Amino acid sequence: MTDVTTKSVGFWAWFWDLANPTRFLAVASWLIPVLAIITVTLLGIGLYLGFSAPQDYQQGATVQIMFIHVPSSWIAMMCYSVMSVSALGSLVWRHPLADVSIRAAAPIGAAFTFLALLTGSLWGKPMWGTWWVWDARLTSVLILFIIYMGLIALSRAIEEPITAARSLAIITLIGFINIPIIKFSVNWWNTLHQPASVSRLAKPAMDVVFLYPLLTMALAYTTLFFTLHLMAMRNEILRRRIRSMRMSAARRIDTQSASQGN
Amino acid sequence: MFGDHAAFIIPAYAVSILVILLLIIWLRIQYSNRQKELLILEQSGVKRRAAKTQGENSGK
Repeated sequence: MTDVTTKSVGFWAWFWDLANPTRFLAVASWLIPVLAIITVTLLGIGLYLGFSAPQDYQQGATVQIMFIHVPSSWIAMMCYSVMSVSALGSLVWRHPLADVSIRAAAPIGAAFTFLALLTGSLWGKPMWGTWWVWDARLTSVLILFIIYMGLIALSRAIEEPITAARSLAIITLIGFINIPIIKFSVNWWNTLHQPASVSRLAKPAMDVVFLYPLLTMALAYTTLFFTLHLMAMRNEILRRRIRSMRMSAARRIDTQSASQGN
Repeated sequence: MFGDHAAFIIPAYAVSILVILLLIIWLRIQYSNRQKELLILEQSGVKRRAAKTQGENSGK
């Protein structure tokens, strides 16, 4: 009992310690290169496995597009989930890094959503005979892209940090409703897009020659996302530090000139 | 290598690589710019408020 309490206190102490930006920057400085190396290794293995996979009997060589389309879509949704958890952290616990995390993640999420849409389109043309259809899956992912754009615009529109953090967190949480809609759109509506083949309760509906490269690429994209997210968070912390230093310098000049005026 | 579908597979990979590289370059340029700005501020004698209250913060 006591042990558990001490442990949880230890974890929370560590978690709150990370809230100290200086501490976070120290952790990021070694975690970013470690994650980058893991990402490059996984990408190497994933691309090798992917390009050595045979052609699919139905999809032919276009199955290659799956190895980058599915991970991009996965990151597009995971990034939004990370932002939503951060939004809760920002609103409920007032964790100072939570707001930094939302702002840093939005452009990365937008980039991967764009890639999911683009690679999907390039896969749809040879397989479905069309670049785009307004079906539930494609439309809900397009909405996700628009939400990301809106959040980026909002995060840059409000100058005052506390108001900006609150608005951004609330709008992020409202937008989360779109994530289950994307996930279940292929089951709820009759879409041209196929339903999930990997994350099913029963066995995945895919041969291992395609499943292994796909899972490796998904893992590589995941570590890539966290590398980029940490880099962006580090930039955002430095931006805020510069801003507060400039403001305190401006205040000092103000008081100096005021005292000289007297 | 990709048969008839090369015209779809190659652009998919090319744009993915391009977008990810642009993200990395953008983040790295931002980082080096921020470091330069910080250095200029520190050289002009501006101190961080947090540097003074570090002891109080770490107690939380």
